Amino acid sequence: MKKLLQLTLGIVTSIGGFLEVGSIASSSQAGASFAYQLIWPIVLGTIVLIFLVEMSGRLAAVSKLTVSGAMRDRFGFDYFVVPLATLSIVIYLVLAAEVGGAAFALQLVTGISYRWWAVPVALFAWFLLWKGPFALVERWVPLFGLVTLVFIVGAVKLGPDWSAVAHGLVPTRPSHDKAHYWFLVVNILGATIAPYLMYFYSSGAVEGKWDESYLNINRFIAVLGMSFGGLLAIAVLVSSAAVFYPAGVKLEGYDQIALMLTGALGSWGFYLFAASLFIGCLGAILEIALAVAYMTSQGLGWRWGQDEEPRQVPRFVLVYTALLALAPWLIVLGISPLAVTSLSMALTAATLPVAIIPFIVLMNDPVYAGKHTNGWIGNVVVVFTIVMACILAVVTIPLQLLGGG
Amino acid sequence: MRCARHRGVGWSGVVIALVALAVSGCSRSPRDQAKKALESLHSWAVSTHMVGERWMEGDVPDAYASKALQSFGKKVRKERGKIASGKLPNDMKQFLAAGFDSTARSADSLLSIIDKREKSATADILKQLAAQARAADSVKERLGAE
Repeated sequence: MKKLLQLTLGIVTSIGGFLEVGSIASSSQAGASFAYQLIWPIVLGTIVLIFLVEMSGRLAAVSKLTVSGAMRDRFGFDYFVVPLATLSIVIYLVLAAEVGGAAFALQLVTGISYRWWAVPVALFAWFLLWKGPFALVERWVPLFGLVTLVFIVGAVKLGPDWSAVAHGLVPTRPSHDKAHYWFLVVNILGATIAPYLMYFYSSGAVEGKWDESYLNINRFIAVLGMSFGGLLAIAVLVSSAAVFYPAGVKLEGYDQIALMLTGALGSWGFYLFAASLFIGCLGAILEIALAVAYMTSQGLGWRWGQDEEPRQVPRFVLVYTALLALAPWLIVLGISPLAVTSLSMALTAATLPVAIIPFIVLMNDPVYAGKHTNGWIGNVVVVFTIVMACILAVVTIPLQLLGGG
Repeated sequence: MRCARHRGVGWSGVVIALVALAVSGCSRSPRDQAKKALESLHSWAVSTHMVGERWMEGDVPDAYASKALQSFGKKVRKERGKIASGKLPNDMKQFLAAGFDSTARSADSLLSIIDKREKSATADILKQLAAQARAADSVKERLGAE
């Protein structure tokens, strides 16, 4: 009975915690620019995410090690520093984007500039981490995140062309703005396959003292939670495509995106969009800050744990404190939150190999995965997507950033 | 790309093909520049219209509408500033400049209407914005047909 409850809670919180600023921004932009044509990268990214999340949980349940802990153990500290440094820089940008998203949500409702909200948002997140237990981040914030289900209601009410939606599941070549099309593919993959999720998930499994009896629960959470989460990202794309594409609106800011649900749901659509953006971003801020603290502490051999008193894990606390102290400044300086989001998602995709390749090695090593090593299908799907994301990122990002397309 | 794969070319072939594909999508001929500028004009006119319409319907708060219109006005003026430096024919430059100026003025008018809460005055501005978007569209269509 207890495990059934954990399973249900795990699935529900995975759904509620799925959407964040990257998914909302990249799916909205994709829908506005290419209608339903870019549903396929969301599906592809979600499939890969299911595999990776399942592997993270399996690794933790079998080895009792987190992904970071196992990486350091298997490859040694000298190697571990490379992904730690690379991912920390990219994750900092992602965190800044999430702070920007939450701050913009507050601007939508209050009219006070997002630049003023960035520091209070970071402080509020820090306060929740300082005072709250792990369950707050893992369960309660994602439960509020169920407000994002409004995108599904909106998508259905907007009455999209469902046959065009179905066609979007199959990759097709763009008829215009090719560089922008591929840039958005990279963005969507980066937003969907966020490496911090795996570090966070495996740390949660270790904090929850998972063992091999949790392998089935882990599988169900990964498959059902992430699938429904992917469905939410598709709903954002469909809503955006139904509203902005026929109107010929190119999305360049959250103040345009905020109108996505007003046609279908009136003022409720506006306020629920703002709530979804705020809660989605707040959940991601907490997860990212903790994921970096976990990764650093586990890699450097420091004591860690969100359920410990802060004074018992001072260096763990210092990492997330420092990160949250630095996170708001790009936004305070006035850099557009949507621009920070696009850049951070593209860079996330570009650095996927650094995060995932060592992980794939671990999952094929019986020392860490026991008799539950990876099958060939999982390895092929994940490696193929990483290579594709990397090539597209190398090719498309410079062109897009130079103002092409 | 499809040919490269069939002939068994490796990753380097795929990368070269993708670079060519992306570069071809980013050419900067005067016609492409004009098309982009017209799309931008259309997009800002429609976005401004959407905010005004939603405010009039009571779907969005005053605070949001004011902030959004201020931001759109700034962006429209920035787009207008880019036209002078572009390699566009003079008549196109004049059309775009007038279009961006008119859209920016409409955003300002809506801002003042929101300040005074005169919802009845919104309809005229929305008509102007809709006409602006249609005009940009029709010029873009003519450009495509030439």
